[in-house]
Amino acid sequence: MPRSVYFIANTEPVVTVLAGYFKARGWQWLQYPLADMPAVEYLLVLEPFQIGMEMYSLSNAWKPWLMGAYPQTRLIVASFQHSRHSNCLNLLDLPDNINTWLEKTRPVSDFPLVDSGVEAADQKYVDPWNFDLVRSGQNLNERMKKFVTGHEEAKSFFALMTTIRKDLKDLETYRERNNLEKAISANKSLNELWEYFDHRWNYYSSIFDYLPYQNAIRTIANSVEFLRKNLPEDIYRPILQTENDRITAYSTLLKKLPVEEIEKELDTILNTMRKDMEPYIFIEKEW
Amino acid sequence: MSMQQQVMIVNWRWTEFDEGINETVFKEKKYQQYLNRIEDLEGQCYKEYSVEYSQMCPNGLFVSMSIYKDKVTDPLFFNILGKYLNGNNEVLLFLHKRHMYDEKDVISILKKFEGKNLKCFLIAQGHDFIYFHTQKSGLLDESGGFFYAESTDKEFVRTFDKGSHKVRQPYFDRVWMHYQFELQNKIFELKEELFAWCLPLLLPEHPEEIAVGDLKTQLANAQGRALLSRINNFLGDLKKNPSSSRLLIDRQVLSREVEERKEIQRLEKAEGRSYFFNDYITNFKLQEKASSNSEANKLYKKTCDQLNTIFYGTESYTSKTALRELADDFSQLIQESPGLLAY
Repeated sequence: MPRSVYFIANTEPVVTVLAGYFKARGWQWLQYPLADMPAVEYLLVLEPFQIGMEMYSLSNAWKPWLMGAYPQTRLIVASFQHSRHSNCLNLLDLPDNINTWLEKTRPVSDFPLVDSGVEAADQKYVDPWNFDLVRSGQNLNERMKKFVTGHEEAKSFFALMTTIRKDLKDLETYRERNNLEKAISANKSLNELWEYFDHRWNYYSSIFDYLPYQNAIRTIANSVEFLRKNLPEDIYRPILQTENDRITAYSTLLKKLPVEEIEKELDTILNTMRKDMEPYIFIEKEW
Repeated sequence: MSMQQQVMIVNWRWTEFDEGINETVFKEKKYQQYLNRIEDLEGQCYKEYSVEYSQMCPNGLFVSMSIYKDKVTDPLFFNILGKYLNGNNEVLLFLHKRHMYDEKDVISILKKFEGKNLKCFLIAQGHDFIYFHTQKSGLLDESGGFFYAESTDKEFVRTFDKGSHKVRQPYFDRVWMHYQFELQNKIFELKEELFAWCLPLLLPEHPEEIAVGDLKTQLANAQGRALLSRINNFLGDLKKNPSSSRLLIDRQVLSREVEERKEIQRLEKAEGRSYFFNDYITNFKLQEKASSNSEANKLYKKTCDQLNTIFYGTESYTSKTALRELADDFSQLIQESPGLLAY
């Protein structure tokens, strides 16, 4: 039974040529099933990996997760670049004997974080995986950091979720007290923040399919879908131009909201991000 | 020292200005008298918009403008542009091709303001990143305004907030970042595509020597990707021409360049994005010269030399070693260019 190299790649001409190269040397060349995320011995990521119109380097997003889930995996980064890294495969100069080369690669467990000697919490550890690593494309993990931190502190993932929750509480309180003016104001704020979050979620969703923490992504996606359907309408939206539109919107706003369910979904989003995604995104800080 | 601003100026067919300023309008409305007091023209042919705060662009400013290229209107255009190039401002200038601007204007504008922190780009037909539709990130719609869209569900996009009268984030940042770093992306993509299609020639079973004809055939296999045309466009005026009679060269070169432009344009149309290097290379050359960083310029020339040697040299064979050296040259050039790509 031939041994297998699983790949994550979408540069078609290279995938085809590598299929021939590995098969000619007695290896099975198989696409890694991202839907199932099984344990495999060799996982090759071909870089850059194109998502939309952007080119990404995936290995920094995958290595921390593999370290936790399947530490014996030998993660291989293939690209058109020379490197001294044990797990970087230079496509410009492929070895004739790939068996020997593969034997010399190291499992991700060989790259635990080490103390940097720096006191700052977010710099206390460094990842030896990055020593001599060559990346081709934007660092996907850095992109995920941007997704979490946003373009300003008040619009970070956590700040948005927390403020949306506060606005929701305010809205419900004012609604119960029949203070329509304040309820409308809280609703406006809630909708602005939700619009911001929802756009960010949509904008980044193209890269989510290629991240390793798929269960967490799916959990958050379900909660986002629930919130899309159940958050109250923004009655300021210019599309609501007729009086009837506005009356309908007011009645929606005054209708009892499923506050408990909405809060539950907001909690799910926050907890999932905190427990199942953040430790792999901000590894130097979290581990 | 004045506060550094990140200024984006878009000279385009804004509907907020009833008409763009061309020679006739300039003369009819006697704009000559405003040349030394252009502030009085704000709202007539240009307008400032503040931008939501962000860490990347803490002092963003957006300027809409509608002035057609013409000898008569040039002084007005330059005076307005000069206003924003004060101090240490960073300025990105976008010129609509339909306003009669072309590559030569990009060069002359950059030369006129040499030493200033200015980058200049041509835009047209909704194909560029600055238009929202290309990648759901840009600022402009396709009919003369900021992008705005909504539907009955909760997805709702507006790149300009009418309430606060501000250009919205993260759209401004994304456009800003894209054009600051786009040259690096384009070089990177060209390198990656080139080597992806050359890979069969680099396999261990292939001999060290590679026929240039085989190399070109490999690139031609990448149907619709215009690879050789993009390489030639990257080389620009540094491209080596085969020796022949002068007249023949001119005719052949002209006809081939027209064909290559068409091929790249077809690719741009199919992909909805820009593949030409021209204005990016011009910005790069002049910016690097201005910042006295000749290293990137040297690397650009070195990469071009290697491309010329491989594709347009006197030898009909090249080698794996030459291709590997070319990959190294590209990598160093990418590393030296501003951008987000991690090398």
